[in-house]
Amino acid sequence: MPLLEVNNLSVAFSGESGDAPAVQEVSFCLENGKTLALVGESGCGKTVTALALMDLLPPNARKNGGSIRFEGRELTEMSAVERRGLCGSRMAMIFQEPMTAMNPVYPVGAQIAAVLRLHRGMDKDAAWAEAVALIRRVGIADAERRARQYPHELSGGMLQRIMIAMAISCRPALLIADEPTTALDVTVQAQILALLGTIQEETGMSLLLITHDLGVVAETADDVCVMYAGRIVETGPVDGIIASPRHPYTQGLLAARRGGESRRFAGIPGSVPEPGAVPPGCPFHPRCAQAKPVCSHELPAALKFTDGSGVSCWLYEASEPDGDTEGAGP
Amino acid sequence: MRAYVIRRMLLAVPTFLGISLLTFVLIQLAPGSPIAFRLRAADGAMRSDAATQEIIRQTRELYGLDKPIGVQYLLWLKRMATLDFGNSMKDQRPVMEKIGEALPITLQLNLISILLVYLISIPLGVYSATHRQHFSDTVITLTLFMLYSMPVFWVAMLLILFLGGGDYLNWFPIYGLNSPGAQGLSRGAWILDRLWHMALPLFCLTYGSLAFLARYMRAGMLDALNQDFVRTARAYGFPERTVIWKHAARNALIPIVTLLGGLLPALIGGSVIIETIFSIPGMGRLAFEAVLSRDYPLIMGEVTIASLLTLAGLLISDVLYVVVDPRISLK
Repeated sequence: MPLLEVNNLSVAFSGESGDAPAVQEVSFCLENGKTLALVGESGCGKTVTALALMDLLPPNARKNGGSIRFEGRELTEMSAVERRGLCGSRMAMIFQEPMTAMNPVYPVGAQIAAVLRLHRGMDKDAAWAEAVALIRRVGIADAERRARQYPHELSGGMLQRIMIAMAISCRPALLIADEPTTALDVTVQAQILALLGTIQEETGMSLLLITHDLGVVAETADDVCVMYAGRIVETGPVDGIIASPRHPYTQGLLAARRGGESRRFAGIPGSVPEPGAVPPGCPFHPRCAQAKPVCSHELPAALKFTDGSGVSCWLYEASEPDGDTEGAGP
Repeated sequence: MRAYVIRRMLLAVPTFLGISLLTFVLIQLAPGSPIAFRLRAADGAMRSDAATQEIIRQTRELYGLDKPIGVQYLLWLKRMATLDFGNSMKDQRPVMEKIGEALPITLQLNLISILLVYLISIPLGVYSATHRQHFSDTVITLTLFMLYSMPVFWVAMLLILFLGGGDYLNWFPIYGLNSPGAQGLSRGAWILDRLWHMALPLFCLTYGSLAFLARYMRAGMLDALNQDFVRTARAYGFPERTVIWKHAARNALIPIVTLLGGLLPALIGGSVIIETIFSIPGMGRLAFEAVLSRDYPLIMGEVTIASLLTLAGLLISDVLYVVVDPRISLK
């Protein structure tokens, strides 16, 4: 049984001009001890997916069905109190901006200790001692002194380590890392990724890594889901996707990255559509060089391959409907 | 921190000298003088020109008004250094004694008022922010705006008219701080009598700042609730009450605490309007009467005490800033 199984998750934001879908029919699985990367450009719905898992959606967001099974339990049917009990203890999250993710008026050690007291029922002294031990464990020297410092007294990289210490404080089975290295210096990025890898090895927790950086994905992930405009367009083991991407969007992302290495910029023309202004058919077709007539009015189905990978693209559809599909739309 | 406090205290000396010099010059520039009041008092008895001139000369000499203003100021400073503010020109009682009677009354009234302002506005602001787009927030917002826009003298008049035994209800006394013969009451009864007398003036002193601060707290709270660290607190499963109070409100409080600095001068200076309307013998009314009768020693005494306490209050609010916000350090 997978640790986390998401099926047909859809989230929409309600605004003045009606509902704007942010995440549509997203499905994925995460096994124990594995790392799954959700990859895509800004606004593709990867963060919203993570927030939905943690029950952190903003008030104007609405979940339109779908199921989230975690450790065999259906999260969407749980009460708010039950889910709160899981958040921070069985599943924890770290954020993109460590500088603003910690409360500025409490020492960092006290913030970790508060989580320990809440979920592990420790008393004040035990929680503090454990917080200091955790800070030491994430590779911070002079942990005793650092624990007493406030967030503004620490660097971004150090704060992200503190966030990781807080996240692993209750030994979660799942860690969701939302762009954990994006706001950090390149040298610090590698250290943070290495730290996450070490902790994962030691504890056997699963990691849901949300990133736009395919370099990070190649180094850390076991499996990848590529998202575009709220949908998963391609999924599969990381080696397969890096070596032979199927979806034109994934190919574009990889080309953009390789282009950077050969000093030639190979971007994808156009930009990500706004939620609420997603084109009909395959959402990527206006930017796709290989688009066919069918792409502009019918959504491709998710195809599964024998190696466990999958793609949603008309290029791979065996039983492609005839060019004329009028009246046969969904 | 200690060095900062000491430096601020030293800096307060020139500030205070500036305040007192300005006041000293300004009141002398104002038309009318204590001599005129003396003359008017003596008007009935003597009418001859020579006698009038004599009174003027005597009065001038008595108060040192015949000397140049610079010398007068230095003489005043010299006496002030020994905490001798002289006697009131009006009733010859020592200025310190008159202030000693008025200051505790004003302090009492305004301390209770500030306490009420904070005790009510903070929870109200938090409630309002966490119930945004609910009917209750709309009602609170409307009420606060109404309160904020009502001038205090008008509200005081309405209260006296409707609740103070005018033509309608006779629920509250409208002047003084105690009933006649209150000295004979037991301690508890005396306090109740005092609070009963304070009810209307307290309401007038409180509602304006209350409305202002509650709106401020609401805005700060809305801002805090959108911060990343509040999302973090939710992500770690803290109950909503903890998220709102320990994480969001604790941060929204920072600007609120510093607003205290703005409320402190009124705490000591008192409110001229309210103390006059409700016949409360506090600092505000004392200053008002001193200015009307050009009672120079009393005006200077009032300004000295009020400015010293205000400077101390501002220092306290600056120090409070450090206490509530670890990101700020005083150097």
